[in-house]
Amino acid sequence: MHDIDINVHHIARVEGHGNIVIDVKKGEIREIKLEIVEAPRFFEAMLVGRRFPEAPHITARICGICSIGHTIASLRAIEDALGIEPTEQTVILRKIALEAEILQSHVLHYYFLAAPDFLKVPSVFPLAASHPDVVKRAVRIKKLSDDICTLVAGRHPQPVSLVVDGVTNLPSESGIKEAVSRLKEVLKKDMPPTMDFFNSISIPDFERKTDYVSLVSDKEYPFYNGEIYSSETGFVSHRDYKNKVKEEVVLHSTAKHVKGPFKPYTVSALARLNNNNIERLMPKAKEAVKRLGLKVPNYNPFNNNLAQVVESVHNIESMIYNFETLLSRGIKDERAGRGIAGWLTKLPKSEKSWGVGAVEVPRGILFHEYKIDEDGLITSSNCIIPTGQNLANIEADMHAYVPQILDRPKDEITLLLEMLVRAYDPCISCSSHLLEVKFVE
Amino acid sequence: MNEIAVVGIGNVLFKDEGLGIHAVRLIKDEGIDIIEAGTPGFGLLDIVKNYKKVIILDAVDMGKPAGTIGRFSPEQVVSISKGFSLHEMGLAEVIKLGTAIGEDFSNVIIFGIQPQDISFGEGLSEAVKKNIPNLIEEVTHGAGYAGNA
Repeated sequence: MHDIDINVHHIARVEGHGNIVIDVKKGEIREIKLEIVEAPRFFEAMLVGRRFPEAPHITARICGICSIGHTIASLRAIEDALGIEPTEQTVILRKIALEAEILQSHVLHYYFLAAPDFLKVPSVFPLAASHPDVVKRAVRIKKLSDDICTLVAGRHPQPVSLVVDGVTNLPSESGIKEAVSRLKEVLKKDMPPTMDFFNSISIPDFERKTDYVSLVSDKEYPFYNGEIYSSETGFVSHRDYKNKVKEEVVLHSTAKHVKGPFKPYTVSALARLNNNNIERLMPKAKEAVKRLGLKVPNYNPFNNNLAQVVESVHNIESMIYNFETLLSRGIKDERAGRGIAGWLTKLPKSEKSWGVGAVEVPRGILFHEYKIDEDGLITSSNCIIPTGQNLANIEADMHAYVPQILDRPKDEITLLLEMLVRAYDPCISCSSHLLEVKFVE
Repeated sequence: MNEIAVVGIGNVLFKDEGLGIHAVRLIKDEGIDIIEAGTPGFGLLDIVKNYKKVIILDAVDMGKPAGTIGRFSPEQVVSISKGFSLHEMGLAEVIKLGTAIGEDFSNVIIFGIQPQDISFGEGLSEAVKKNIPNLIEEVTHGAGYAGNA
């Protein structure tokens, strides 16, 4: 066969596209919009009529990057509805899986999506040529995270062994020991150069104090469990989340905007850092805050990238701690005693109930809410994802930032606005190359 | 683990786009590892490292009639992908990025079939279905792993 040049196409999945529209007439800003053009996913409708053990498996498919996040929010909503308290070992396993997933999401975001902007290259491909170590590091950490997710949850993406009230498979001690060893290696060898890298870049100077919403906890730096807190309006119980989280339809966006309840707010790594006592961070993560020169509380949205670096360090240390806890206690097979582990078992007696799961995932706080009937079927569901909660705040940021940079060249304004959107690590940044900044003149 | 892997990649929810997966499911050989990789992204780097020879089967847009079989090296894979996406690390992107960081793809060959229909849905088009056996023949007994790559 003769050689041929080919183009290999891979089918596009449904992913976000974002357009930024700026309308300026004689120096006056008439319109600033972040248009989201994304097909509806219908997951909330898909869950109706399904048996509740199916919900975590179905909602895991909402996303390939945060599939464990969705699974855990789903499990917590169901357990909240049915009054189920999983064992401490189950909680530890879920925490490890969640933090492994957050680690790989953060690393890929700040190295592959955000870093090129700071190095003034268009994508990670030239970065691979100029900074191959950076790319190798990201790939290595991602592989470790994926292996940990597979060890604990059976597979990444889309976990298989995390179920209501337990796990269907247990990690081996040898697998855990290997994971700990690799985590320690990454902590020692990969995180210091990561911090050096982010110390060497120049972050745009912009501040806008907003409402920061996240879980807070006085026991630990919270991802799996905590109280919902807003820096403007205070605490709200998870079952009352709708008092704070108000969705509204917006004409220029197929994704709803969310206000809290009247003004925009943000969820993110930065929100978590602003709302939580940094003493709750693991030791090296606390050092990372200082090393990165991150002033806390911090009102520069571009610093969300740095907050993610801090969290990456924390995630690694936290996983080591949790794994070593499991090893010291010994892994117990708790599956036999608990009747709900998996959808092949007979459904337990259910009663009409409803519950909410609120969990921190890479991009911020994620809510799942379900109503379950007496036959164990879901009668309604609501999923509010972090990116949706940030859209109104991103627009508010642009409204504040554009006047400050209006005198700069068009190319620079475009790049800065794209960087601003990317700093939130929204799902649409996966197609950040398609961010079109339209100047209406 | 054998020394040779035949890896099917693609998405079976998008008709012909999943032909790589459908094809590997029809290969039965104890002497090679058959891998349904789905949409593996960086996971492909691991597979490439672990085997002496890796034969990838995929839907490939060559601009030819549906069902046409093609064979090419990693260098010939030129991406006109719309950009970089964490949700969509295609074969071309993985090879490009991997090469840039010094990974070796010299043990990889790619075989493909020109798809007819890659819209949402299950099952293969007739044009592709009838050429799967030819593809498998190419891979297993032709220029594939039986020696002559």
